Amino acid sequence: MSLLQVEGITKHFGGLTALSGISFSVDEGKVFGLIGPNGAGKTTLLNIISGFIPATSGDILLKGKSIMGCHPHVLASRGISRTFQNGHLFGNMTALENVMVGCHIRFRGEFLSAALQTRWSHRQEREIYRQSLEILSSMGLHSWAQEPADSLPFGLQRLIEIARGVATKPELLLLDEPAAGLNPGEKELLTEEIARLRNLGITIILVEHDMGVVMSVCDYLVVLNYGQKIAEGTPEAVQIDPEVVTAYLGDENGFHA
Amino acid sequence: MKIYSGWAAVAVGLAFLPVLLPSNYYLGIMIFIGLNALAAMGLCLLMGYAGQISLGHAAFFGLGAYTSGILSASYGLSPWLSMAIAVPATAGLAFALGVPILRLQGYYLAVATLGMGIIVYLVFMNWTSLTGGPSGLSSIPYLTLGPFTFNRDLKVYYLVWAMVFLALAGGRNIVNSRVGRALRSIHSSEIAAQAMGINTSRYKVKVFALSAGYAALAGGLYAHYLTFISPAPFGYQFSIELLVMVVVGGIGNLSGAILGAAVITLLSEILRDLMPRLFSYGAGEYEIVFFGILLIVFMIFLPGGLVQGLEFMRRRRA
Amino acid sequence: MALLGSQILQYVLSGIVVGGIYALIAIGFVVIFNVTGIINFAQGEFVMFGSLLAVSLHTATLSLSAALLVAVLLTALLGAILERVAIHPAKGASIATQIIITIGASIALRGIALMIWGTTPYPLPPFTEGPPLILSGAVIVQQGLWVIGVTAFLLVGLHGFFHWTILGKALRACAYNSVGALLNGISVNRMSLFSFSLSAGLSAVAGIVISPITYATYDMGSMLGLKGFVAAMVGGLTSIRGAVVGGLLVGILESLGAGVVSSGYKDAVAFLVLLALFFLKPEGIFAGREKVKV
Repeated sequence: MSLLQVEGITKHFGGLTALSGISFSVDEGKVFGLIGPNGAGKTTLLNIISGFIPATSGDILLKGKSIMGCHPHVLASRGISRTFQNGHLFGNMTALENVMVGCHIRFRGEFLSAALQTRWSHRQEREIYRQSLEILSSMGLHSWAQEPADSLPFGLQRLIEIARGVATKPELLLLDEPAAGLNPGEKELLTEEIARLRNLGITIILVEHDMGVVMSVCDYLVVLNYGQKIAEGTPEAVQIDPEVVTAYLGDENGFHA
Repeated sequence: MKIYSGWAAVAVGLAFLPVLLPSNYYLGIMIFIGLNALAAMGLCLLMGYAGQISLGHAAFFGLGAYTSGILSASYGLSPWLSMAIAVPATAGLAFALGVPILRLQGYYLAVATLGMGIIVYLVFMNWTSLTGGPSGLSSIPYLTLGPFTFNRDLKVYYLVWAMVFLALAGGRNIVNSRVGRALRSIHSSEIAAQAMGINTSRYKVKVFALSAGYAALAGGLYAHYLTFISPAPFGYQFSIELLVMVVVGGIGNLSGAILGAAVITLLSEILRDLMPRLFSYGAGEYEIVFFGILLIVFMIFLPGGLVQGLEFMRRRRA
Repeated sequence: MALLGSQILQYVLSGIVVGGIYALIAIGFVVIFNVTGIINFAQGEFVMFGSLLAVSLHTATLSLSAALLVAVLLTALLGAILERVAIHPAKGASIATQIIITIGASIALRGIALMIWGTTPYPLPPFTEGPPLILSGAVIVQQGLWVIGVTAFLLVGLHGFFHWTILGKALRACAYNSVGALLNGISVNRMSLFSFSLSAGLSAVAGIVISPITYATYDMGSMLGLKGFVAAMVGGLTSIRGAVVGGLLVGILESLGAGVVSSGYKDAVAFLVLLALFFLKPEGIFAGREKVKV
């Protein structure tokens, strides 16, 4: 039932301790929320899980096998995909092409078959096209498929980035503050989308500041503060946890939905 | 489809061009444009898609020329076989060099290729027993195809430009494929590309090797055309000229590389003719000033190159 | 045996002399890279312009010391002009663009020098006349001592400049954290301009002090610039101390290589060092903080 096991993750940046002994376990098919005030270490932890930063010590197990030291692209083929806080869409491509890049690892065909345009590579390409369009459609985005990605409104860009991550058919999808900068309507769409993906069987780790989104879609929460885990549990339980409330009192967002 | 009809027109035009040219001299220039275009296309793939700069591409051109030349002239292999060995061998060398270097961030490849270019040039100059040193390598056999020997400018012209179009088609196919998308994604955001499962370092190395292959092919054709090669044209100056061709044509646009090659090769010829008349020194390296200024001006004002400029003009007329 | 020893000593001494030059040029690279993140491919041309300007000024009746001083100042001005004309307008463009621009500048400058001075090598008179010094069988010309002396003097001066003057500290601040520097009222724009001027001036000195030995030509900058760059790479492009060590390393290895192995491949030594660096320790032997803009 446990898809991801985080064990004692510690991260030092020179003299600064960003994470200290973080441990928790993420169950399959659930939306797992990683929350905490600014600077608590959430994005650092996400970067460690997705292989972009090495941990100083500790281990992370995906389905029982350690993923420490794996490069990000290797983790993608092992079933971990992610979006980025600063939105790293491929601006030089259309929305559809972005999603097609997401399909990359599930297909084959390198330089030679591409140069020769074999019938096989044509078939692959058609399939990539079809699947990508399907993913966009399932998220209600197919009317923007041919638009250049960087010309679209912010909220749509976020969704397309998620679509791209979904295209890798991940078992674990990491979302890094997807609600940042969205208006209430867009946030609702986002929440629905996350719930839909969960229902499709994708396990999601959500790093998020917006408590409305967190409360309505997360099945389980882990709260970080100053690099340490200060609470974990269901959203309802965590909400009234005194330590959590204190931690957020200093935060201008407060702990309100 | 619009692009293909455009190129079909160009191909037809080029097919009939020799009829219009007054002498073999101009045919020779067209051949050089073709050879430069091949090498420039390779560099364009590297710069536009892997986002890396190579300052040593002349070395790959030279390696293609010398390897094929030596194998055929000194060891008696058939010219086609020599080229069939020279091109992958050069690409392989580029691959080997690229693996450790492209793992590094930033513009280390530019510097490494610079150093490599100089070392290779020095090898051409000093390893006299193999390369003939500064006096060069001669008696390189012509390419043959059945009864056909490519020993006249006219025949070489068609051969070279056929290769150019094949290379262009192949390059286009790559760019519009899954691999090309991966390359474009690396250029856009390497981090996101990695997150999507793309081994960015590996791809960069492969593009580097591919670009070296293009240059080596051009070099091989060059060797079997002139039947004599010497180290002089394979130095830093030529590497810079290739760079200028790509920048002027438009980084990241394969047809731009052909356009840039044409412009720069023609400009070179004109300047080489003109400069000694304007200045009393005869060193013939003056065109380099213009190229330097061209690089600066284009990178600041027209980073998309002439292709961008033409697009702009076409849109304004519409 | 003693003959071999003095031979080796000879190579090492010549290596130290030329290594001092590489070190000065390398520092030019480091200063610009630290402040702007750009690899200035035109660095070698500053070396060349300093030398040729000094020759012309001196020939045009200026006294030697006046000619040297004015040449350095003019080259520093050239550096500033280059920054304003070619670098500044492309601020915000990718580093690749900026690098290509410096490449363009370097070949344009070389061409201009060719047009002004032609291909002739010009001699600059040595700073002091006199017999060479003999050190246990190894010969070192007086100008060589000047090279070592000037380099050492400049190093001390630079150290003082960077650590004890406001301008120097401002330059270092830009290198560490350009946003922080900006917030503290330091104009990164002006620092970029100044870094180019300073680097150009340093390189001019390097060119001037070596010209009496090697003569000044329009294309002396390319190789010197590249080797200076290799020296800077030893210091990871960020460390001045590393640049000095790099310069001496390249100079001595090159000299030994030319003398002991083969002189045809002399120029290759520096680049072999470079490739060795890449394969073994790419961040440079003096791994400084990273200047990677994310």
